[in-house]
Amino acid sequence: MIIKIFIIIFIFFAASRAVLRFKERMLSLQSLVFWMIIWIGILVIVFNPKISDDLAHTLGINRGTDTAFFISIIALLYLVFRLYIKLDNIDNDITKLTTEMSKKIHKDKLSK
Amino acid sequence: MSTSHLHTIFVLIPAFNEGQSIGRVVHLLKKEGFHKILVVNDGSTDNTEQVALNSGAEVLNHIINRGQGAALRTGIEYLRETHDPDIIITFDADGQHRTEDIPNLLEPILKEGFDITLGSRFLSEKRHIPPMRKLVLKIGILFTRLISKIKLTDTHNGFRALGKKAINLIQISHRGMEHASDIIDEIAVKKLKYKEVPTEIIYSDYSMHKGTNRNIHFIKMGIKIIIRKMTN
Repeated sequence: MIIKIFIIIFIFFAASRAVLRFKERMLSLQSLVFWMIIWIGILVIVFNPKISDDLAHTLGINRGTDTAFFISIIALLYLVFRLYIKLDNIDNDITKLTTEMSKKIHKDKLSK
Repeated sequence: MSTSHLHTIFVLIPAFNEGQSIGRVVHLLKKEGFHKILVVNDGSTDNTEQVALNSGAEVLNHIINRGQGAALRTGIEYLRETHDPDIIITFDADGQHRTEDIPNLLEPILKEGFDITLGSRFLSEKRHIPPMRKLVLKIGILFTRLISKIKLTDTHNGFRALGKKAINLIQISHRGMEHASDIIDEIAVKKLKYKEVPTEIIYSDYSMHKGTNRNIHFIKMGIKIIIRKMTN
């Protein structure tokens, strides 16, 4: 039972962070919806674990906890992939900035 | 090579911590008659910039290290915007390339209408390629053949000459060593007329020390190219 309380507190904390980030325009609406679906989904399973068993049977897995485990791994892989893309984009931006700065500094130096 | 003096030919050298070799490389290029030399100092922490400047090269500086692809991109963009070159030769800073091979790279562009020429160590009669390097390069060739569908004998040779069309059309998107695959992709996509030319690679202790790290880069490079292909 204590674990449930911890999970609920964590979910509320994480969801509030997502909303705050959205309000600060640091998170897109698409990302907010994605995170809300994740947290609400976990909340539903915490309050009604039977749902995970039903889902497990539908997917052909014996236990609900196994389903949760598999889905978590897939979700984590997806998140790592998203993070990689984001980092790659930032990396590209830094390269573009470096190129532009290098050209500008050199041109300015020549024009003096 | 009689017409080469009529064209604006630049030698572009990306350099990262090459203070030991860059001076000699610039000197050899000048001795061979190439005086328009642009060094892109890619955030070196040694005296690369000063040595290159003292040797008489034009030097652009990256404030942080971004990799060989990024340095080439900076150099090509800068030359395109300011000097309108007819040909850009890309040349390694570690002294691996021979200035004597440059005429072989220029000739197909100047006389046969090719858009780009690519150096190939495997076409050279004098090839002394260390076995480990050879294996890594062969895997790279196979990999590039699968991804770009262009048949080349040496896909990661930094010794190339880009004609006007190639200078204007080729976009380098990878910042690291993967830029070599970018260029091959661009040749295929932009339908550039290309030719491989035999060039010799000098494997000195200095360049091999740098090359050891490059073998690890090849694995990272493959992963990066696959992920970029998946996400673009």
